[in-house]
Amino acid sequence: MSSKFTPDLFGQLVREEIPEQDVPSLEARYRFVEKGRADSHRQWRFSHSWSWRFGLMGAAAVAALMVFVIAQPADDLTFQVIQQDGAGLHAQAVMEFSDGSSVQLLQEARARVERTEPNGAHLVLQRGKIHVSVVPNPLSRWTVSAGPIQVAVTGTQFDVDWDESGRVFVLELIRGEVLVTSPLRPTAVRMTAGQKLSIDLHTQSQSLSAGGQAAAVAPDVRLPEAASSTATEPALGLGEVTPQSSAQAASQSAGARVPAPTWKALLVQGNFELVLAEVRERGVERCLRGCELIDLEAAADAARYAGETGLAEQLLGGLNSRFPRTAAGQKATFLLGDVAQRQQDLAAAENWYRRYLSQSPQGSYAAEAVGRLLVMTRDPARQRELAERYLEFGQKGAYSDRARRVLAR
Amino acid sequence: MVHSPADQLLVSYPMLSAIKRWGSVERDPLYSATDAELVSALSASNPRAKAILWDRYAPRTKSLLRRILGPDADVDDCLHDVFEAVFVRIGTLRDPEALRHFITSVAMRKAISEVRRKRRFRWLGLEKHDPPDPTSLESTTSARALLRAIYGVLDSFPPRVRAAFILRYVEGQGLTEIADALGTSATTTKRDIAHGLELFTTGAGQSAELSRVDLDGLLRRRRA
Repeated sequence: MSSKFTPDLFGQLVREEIPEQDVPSLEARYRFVEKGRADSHRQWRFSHSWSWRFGLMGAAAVAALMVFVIAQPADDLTFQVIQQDGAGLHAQAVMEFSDGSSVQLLQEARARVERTEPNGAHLVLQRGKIHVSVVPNPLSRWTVSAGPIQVAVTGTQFDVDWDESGRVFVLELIRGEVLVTSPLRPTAVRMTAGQKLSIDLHTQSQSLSAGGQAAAVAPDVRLPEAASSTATEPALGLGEVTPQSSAQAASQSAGARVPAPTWKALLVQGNFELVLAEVRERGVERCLRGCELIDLEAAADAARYAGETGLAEQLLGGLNSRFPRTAAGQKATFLLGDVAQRQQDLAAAENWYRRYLSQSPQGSYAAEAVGRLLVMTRDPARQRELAERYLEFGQKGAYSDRARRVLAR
Repeated sequence: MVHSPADQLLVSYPMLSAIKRWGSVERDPLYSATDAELVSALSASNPRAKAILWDRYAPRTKSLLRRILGPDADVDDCLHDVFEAVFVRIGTLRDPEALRHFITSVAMRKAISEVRRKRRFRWLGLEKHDPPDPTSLESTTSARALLRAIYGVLDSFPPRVRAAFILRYVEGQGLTEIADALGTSATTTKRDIAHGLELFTTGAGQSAELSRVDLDGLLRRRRA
């Protein structure tokens, strides 16, 4: 068997198993580009055979190692509950955390702290309304869950209302940004200051307002308790909340105050979820048939950025078929290949890349398309052809080395 | 790149707010700049340059690190360290056109030190718990098992020999290129590759897992 097992075959297997272009995670990019410091998420564990080896090392080494293993960088947050009227957590109370963050339990709210960490805590809202104020810290990892809905938080202020029996969740964001995940959507909803999100798990509907009364609250002022529970939503009764009514209220208030921003503008602001919410409100099919090029392009980009692959594919397909001669339509051809490739549908990806190259042989994505085809193609003659073509675009591209290797064979 | 809600929840707000800035990076004229122009922009602390450096070289570098450290290794921390080092030391790069080689060389040093660190910890009875890399799920089970067995053999290699061996037989690089990447002389590199070859042949012959596998047949089947 060893005769078959040559280093060259080994090399071939590794090249097939670990692709030459191995796209790192979005989080890794974020850590480098935005944060600039490595967070250590490494977890250590003892292997089963450590003990006898430790015996050989001597007491000093053991002590040093134990200090190394046991040492923890920071303590978990601590908190105390201050009863404001002495009637228990069912009445108004405040949880004050050691980092300065606080959670006010309003009305008949009931909540518990599931766990604390050095940079945050996980709260479970069992019912009622709470006002959360988290001290800004880029490393914060605060989460609040209400039923199956989760809110990821860093420095921010917001009110959450959870009607356990009606399965209605309402979040009003006063300051900062949060991410909300619910069973209704495959991706998280990102909310910015002034927005209000209503989720009704019974009717399976969700609405996100573009801005409302909460936006008028001075962002740097901590809300008085009364204001947080009443001023921002005077008429909000748990039984009265329906997604339809909140969506109508949102659209009315947005329409009366400011002209609706274009999808392109929302996209530039990073408000992908709002773009997609509006696409759905308008109707995907209707948009595919009637949206203007610039809107369709923005919607497709928003779907791609939000990770909604199916919707992105639909919108790119519409863009491609309705505007085939425009730059955006041709770019959509390439992006359809990209989407297919990410879904491991290599045959479809190859078709799209070829189609793109026939449409725009010198287009902005032509070199990339040729490079990707070079990686996908197994036929040596075709590989040579693609390698030559790739190097015509320049000698320093991402696939140049591969192209040169192919030509050197 | 498709991210699950759980991913998005973990990365939370700062990352999402960063994405809105990245959206416009691809439209930046610097995106199509040459390496020399990119190096100048990095030296001038152009904030976009860092993102472009990552987009241009991180996929290739991640692949290289995984090929050296093993298919199941979680290389994100190493990748981060490599790019931080490149960013910090970009001023020492004499030929800006050699950015790619510079990154490879930094990645090699990091990979070698990571292999050393893992060996140390294995010897001490501690090992890093790497969660499985989601991308590794693409592979077929049999090929993956085979690859694990091969990297088990590579674990016995001295770290520099392992790097030289991978650069030669996986990356297909020449002696000079490998010597440049590893910061060694051509003679030492030649010796390292020969040593690696010897260890590989012996290790593969002795490995019970590898002796059960028909690698040639597996590759043929995959191609078919």
